[in-house]
This record gives sequence, structure tokens and C-alpha cells, in this order.
Amino acid sequence: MTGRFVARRATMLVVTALVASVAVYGALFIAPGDPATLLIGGGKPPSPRLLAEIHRQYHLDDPFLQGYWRWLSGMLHGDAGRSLTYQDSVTHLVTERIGNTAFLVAYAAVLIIVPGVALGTVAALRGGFGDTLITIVTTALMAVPTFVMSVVLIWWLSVRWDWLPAYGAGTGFTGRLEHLTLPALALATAWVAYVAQVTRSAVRAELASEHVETARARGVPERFVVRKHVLRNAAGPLFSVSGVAVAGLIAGCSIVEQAFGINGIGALLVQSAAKQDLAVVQALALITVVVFVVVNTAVDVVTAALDHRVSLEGAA
Amino acid sequence: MHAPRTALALTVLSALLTLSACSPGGGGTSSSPQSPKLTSTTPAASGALDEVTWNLPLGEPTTLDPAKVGDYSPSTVVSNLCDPLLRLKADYSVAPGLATSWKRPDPRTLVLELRDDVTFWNGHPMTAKDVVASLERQRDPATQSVNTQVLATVSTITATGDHQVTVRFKSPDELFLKYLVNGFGAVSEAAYLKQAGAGYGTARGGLMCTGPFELKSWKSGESITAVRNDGYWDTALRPRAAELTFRFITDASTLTSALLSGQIDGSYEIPSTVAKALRSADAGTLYYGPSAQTVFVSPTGPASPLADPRITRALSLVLDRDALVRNVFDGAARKEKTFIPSLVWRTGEASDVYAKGYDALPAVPATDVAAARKLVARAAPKKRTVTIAMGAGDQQSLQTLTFLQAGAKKIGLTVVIKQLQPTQMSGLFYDASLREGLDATMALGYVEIPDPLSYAEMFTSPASPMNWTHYDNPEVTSLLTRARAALDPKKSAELFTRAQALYIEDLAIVPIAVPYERMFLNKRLSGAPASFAYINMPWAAQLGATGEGTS
Repeated sequence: MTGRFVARRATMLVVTALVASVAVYGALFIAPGDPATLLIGGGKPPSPRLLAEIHRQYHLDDPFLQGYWRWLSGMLHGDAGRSLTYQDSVTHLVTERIGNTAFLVAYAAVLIIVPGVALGTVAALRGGFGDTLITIVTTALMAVPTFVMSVVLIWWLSVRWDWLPAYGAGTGFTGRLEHLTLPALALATAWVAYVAQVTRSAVRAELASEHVETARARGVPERFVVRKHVLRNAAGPLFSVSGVAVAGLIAGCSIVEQAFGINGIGALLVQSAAKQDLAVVQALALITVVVFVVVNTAVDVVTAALDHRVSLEGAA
Repeated sequence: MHAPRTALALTVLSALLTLSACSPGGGGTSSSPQSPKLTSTTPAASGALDEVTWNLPLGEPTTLDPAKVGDYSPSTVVSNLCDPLLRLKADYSVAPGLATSWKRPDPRTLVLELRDDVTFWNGHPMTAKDVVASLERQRDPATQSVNTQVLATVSTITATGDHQVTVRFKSPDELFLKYLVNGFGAVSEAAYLKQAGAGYGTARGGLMCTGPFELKSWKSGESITAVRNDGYWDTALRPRAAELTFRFITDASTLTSALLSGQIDGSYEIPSTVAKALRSADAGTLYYGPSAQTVFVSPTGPASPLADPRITRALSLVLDRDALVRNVFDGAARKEKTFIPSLVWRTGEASDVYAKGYDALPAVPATDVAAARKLVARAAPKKRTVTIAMGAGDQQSLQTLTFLQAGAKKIGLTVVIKQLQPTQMSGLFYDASLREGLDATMALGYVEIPDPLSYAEMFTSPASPMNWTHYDNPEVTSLLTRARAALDPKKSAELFTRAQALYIEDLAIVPIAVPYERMFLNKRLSGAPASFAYINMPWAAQLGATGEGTS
């Protein structure tokens, strides 16, 4: 069953990736503007000969299908093409930056899941004032846009108090930890609230369910009820929502990387899209699609394993 | 030269960031300087420095090959790496560089005498052969040089001695010598050029020049690092900083935080939107310098309502420039009579001739709605809506155009502001189809060489690809052509000012303001020039320690 599920997901991934690549390629293809003009100093009177030379070198005048085919066959040979603005191979550009982004996403994921689940569980179990407080605070945080959070964090913790660096990615593990704490916080804030809210409802739902009532009626100690019945059954939705949150982080990276001046693939995507650097945008769009689908698949598999009420057949 | 400033590829997002970042630290409107003090230089530095981190607010350069450089970011870096034959000084005058002297035995010959004590970073001596190779390669289309038009009047460039180069011209050209101050005149090692080929000036191909700093590494997207050249020939300019790192923060809010927290030591071209927050900062000083930058609106085609000089004059009459300078430029700009900033001629040999010509021009008009309305009525454009293009997200342009919009409304013209993405904006200069549907464009440019002639030719010559309205005044063209061929500076200046008096009457361009250079420098540093001339000067060689710590 699992084998068939994975095979079907893999097919879906390939189809999604192809559709996405045609859409991205097409969108940039019909966008007005000529990326080659950005390369010519900007400051000198235009030279049509120079422009023609760049067009020739980078095949900028190819028709849509020919250009797309050149790109696709290159990809199948493991060649993601050359960046027009960096005059460097896309593979090199991406591999140099992906470490920063992966670190940032992983860091933010930890910052989301650990406090999110803890806060949601506490709110659901405790109830009363604590519940109200957690609900109000997390709901308020959910409403703060990521870029506003970035500005507030930089201003408060970096410029005012000089605790953490305001920009850059740092090098090595400790350097990155230091430099990426604020960006990860900015990225995590909105999602912490989301995870906490879903955890709270899931735990609440379990608390009110029949099996918990039965266990309690049987005189099973409360500690045991919470661990064995409530948290275990709530784990499915928790894992599922955490997965969505992590996949969402990948999209949120562009904003945070721009705001904190981090040299990651999110910032690269924003810059390359503005400059119509097709090969780079195309490669990054594909990476995003693949990661998104893979994360979702993993979440589905684990959710199904945790909760036998969910079948993989239905999930696909 | 004209540099349309399109690199500010920021989104609405950055605008919001800027606003929110400024409010906590920025001063109120009461602290706005009415006219900030201008300074060409900063106090001389006293000590050595281990490292300096500098920002390029217009983003990462695409190349460092001097032959291809002609924009803010690459010029800021290359001017410290590659020495040109002549050197621009902070007051925008020309001084000897790798060439010690020059003479013209006849109007079609220029002889340059070179220094004989200069070595490249690799220790090889610089000779006339390297100079010839560096200049000649810019003729070859494969080089993709942005300076090919400078060589249009040149017939041969030859080494006439180990340290002497002779240039022969098809027709006399007074501009050629002045172009030697920028990337066009930069000298690279001939052997290295040959070996690096098309990769010269890229992150991989590297550079081989004689400048005070040597290119060490270029991590794309991250930084460019240069180290001190201990054997630099100009002993007065041996750098005090051992290492110089460039970063590429384009986001105004991130830049402000990085400067305030001392993570970045300084930056030229500080956006006006963050100047308020930096002006009152303890971390360092915001300097205002004289500048050769200029802001104007020019029509995009002969069918534009703005192509009628009566309409452009009417817009000029309703534009409240004082309020504009105060509110948009934070006081750091000046209204001038033409679109060519006076700094470019103020220090030359013929400055008095240029000054006299400038004084004779009609004054910058005070707002006069009645007169403007009459002009519009006489021009009677069929189209009452004017669509003006600007680079998306550029706050200064947006605010300037909003001012123009308000003024135009009073005389029955509707200004529609259209924000274009970077590739569309840069494409305007090359592709006429991208100009369709537009009536005018906001231009932020600078004049790179200390001569107004090239800039004037660009908009008035019928052959110029920048002359979008097909402006053709044979007398102006003839005067400017003669000015270029006149090798006597006073004669050339005199011919130019006569042409200027003519085209100022009928050329459809709305001059808006001449913004000052804005440079921020951390308090631990001093010495860098605050003048816009930095763009072609080894400015970082003058940076040194002040003895004060970082913030």
C-alpha cells in the first residue's frame, strides 16, 4: 500500500514540477522588459550591437518552445543553465546559498514546533486565565506580518540593545546561530500562533472524546490519560499542521532574507525575478515545488502511521 | 554620462520597512536642515585600520571589468582597484594619474607621458604596451565595452616609447582626454587581459590593475573583498585600511540598521528616506557633498504632450521646487537652471566662461499658475493625460512625481505615475516598443566626466539614441560639434554656452533638482571624500581610523 502511495506521489511530483516550470517560464517569457539591458552598465548611451551580442550569447531571442526545450533538456542532463546577471552556473549559485536557507528554515521550524505545541497543550489542559492569555497573545502575534516583525526585532534587539547582528548570515554553526536567530524568530512568530491554536483545539477535542471520558471513569490517573490518550491521539493533527507550517516557511523565506540581508535562495529568487533572470527563477521555483511536495508527502505518511483512522489511500 | 538609476529594484514592501524603521529614531520635521553644510572631504584620518565594511546600496555589480563599468556600484569598487590614466579630484577637477603629463603637438594628436615607477599587483611593471591594450580592447565588440563611442573619433593608439602613448584622431576631440578619468582610461595588464579573455572582471576571471587595493575575492551575493596594495606607487595614497569588504544591501531599512549598529562602516548614495534616521545618529556622521547627479523629467517620444516645450515649461512653472527639496530630498538638493549640474564645469580652466553662460540663462521660475495655464492653452494638447514612468519602489521618484502631479492638476493636466520593473525601466533606453503608452520618464542620472558637452549632445543630437523626441536644432548641433572639436577650453566652453542658451528655450526637459551626495561614515573612520567625485576616485585609500570606537 505504501509503495503504491509513494509511486503515485512521485508521479504527481513530476507532473506538478513540469506544470510549474511551464508556468514560470511562460510568465517570465511574456513579461515586458529585456534582462540584457540591465547588464549594460546602465550609464552609457545604448549600443544596439552590444545588446545583440548578449542576446546571441544567452539565446534570449529563442521562441518559447525552443527556449523551454533547451532548458528542459539541460535539466535532464543535470545542467540548470547559466545566470544572466551573475554570469555563473545556476547550480553553483544555488549550492552556495542553499545552506543558509536550510539552516534558517530548520531553526525557524524548531522555534515554531516546540513552543507552539507546548503553549497549545498548556492552554487546552489548564483552561481559565492561562488559556485566555495564550489565546489572546498568539492571535495577536498571528496578525503581525513577517516584515513588520523583522523591523521590530531588528530595531529592538539589534540597534537599540545591540544583542544580535542586524544583517547577514554568519559563517560556521555558531556564527549562523547568532546571525539567524532574529530572522528565524521573525519567520516563526506568525506560525507559532497557528500551531498553538491548532494544538489547543486538537487537545480539547481529545479531552472531550469518549475514550478519554471512559478512561477517566475507569479511574485511570489524569497524568496517564493526558499522555496515553489525549496527546497520542492529538499527535496526528499536530504533526500535520507543523508540516504545513514548515512548508509555509519556505515561501516566507524571501521576505525575511531580504529584510535581514541574508544571502539565501529566497533573496536570490526575489532579485532574479525582478531582473528576469530566467534560469535562476526556474531552478528555484522547481526546488520550492519539490520540497513542498516532499514535505507534504512525509507529513501524510507519518500522520497515517500515527493515526490508523487516516488511510494513505484516501490521503493521496 | 547618463546613468538612469534603475537598480533600486525594491518592492512596496521596502517602502513600508523604511517608514516603520525611520519613525522610532528619526527626528521630527523641525530638525530638517534647510540647507545642509556641503563638504567635499571629511576630516583627515590619523590611524591604521584592520578592516572596513562598505555598502553598495544599488546592489551587487554584474562585472568589475573597467571597460564595462558605468554605474554606481561597479564604479564605487573599481575606482579603488584600477587606476585610470588621469584622476578626478574631489572638486571635480582633473589631475595626473598613471599619465604624468600630456601634450597636443597638433590638433589631431595627443601624446601621453606615463609614470615609469608603477607596477601591477603581481609586481610586473606597467608600460605603454599595457595602456594600448587596455584602450584598444574597448574597440572590439567581443569586449562588450560601454565606451565604444569614445573611440569613434580615434584612428590609432600606439606605444611611441616604453612610457609614452600617442593617440591620433580622425577629427579633433576635446572630450577624449576627459574620458580618461573613468573606466575607459583604466589600465589593466596586457598579458593578464589576454589570458583572462571574456572572464576578465568576473568573480572567476579576476582583475590585474595597479590601484591602491587588490581584488582578493568575490563571493557572489555575499561580498567583494579587496586587500591593501603595499607597493602602491602613490605614497600619499597608500591605504590605511588593510582590508576592504563590500556588501550589497539594497533594502533601506536593513541598511539603516546595519549602519546604526556599526556592522557596516559606511555607504555612499544614502537614500533620502533614511537620511532623517541617520542624521541624528550617534554611530557616525551623515555628510553632504557636492554632486554631479541630476533629476529631471524627459518626454519619451515625439507624440508625448511633454514633447511640446510649452507644456514642459508650464509644468516647470507649477512645480513648487522649494517644497519639493524640503520634503522629498530632506533639504539636501538644490534647484538649478538646467539639467546639467554646475559641479561638472565649476573647477575647470574655463569655469568663468561656463559660469557667465549659466548666469545668463533664465532664472528657475517661481510658481505661476496663471502663466502656466496660458502656456497650456496655447499648446492646446489633444491629450490631457500624461503617463510618466519610474523605477518600481523608488521612493524618491514616487514622491517627486506626486509633487509634479499636484502641480499639473492646477493647469488641467492629469499625471499618471507608472512604476516599472527594473528590466522594463532599463529596456526603455534600448527598445522603442517599451516606450509605447508612456509620455515621459523620471530620470535620475549623473555626469561622470567634468564636461557638460557629452550630456548635452545626448539629448540634442539628432543622431543620439537618447533623443527620443527627434529634437533637431541645426544651430545647436553645429555649435556642440564645434565645441567638441575646439581644443582650447575657453573656446569650447564659449561654444557650449551659446548652444545651451538656444536649447534651453526649445528642448523639452523639466529640470527638477540637483541632489547632494549623501555619505554616512561610522565614527571610528574618517578621510573619505564626501563629494560625488568618489565615483571615479580611489576614495577608500583615504579612509583611516579616528581613534574612536564603534558604537
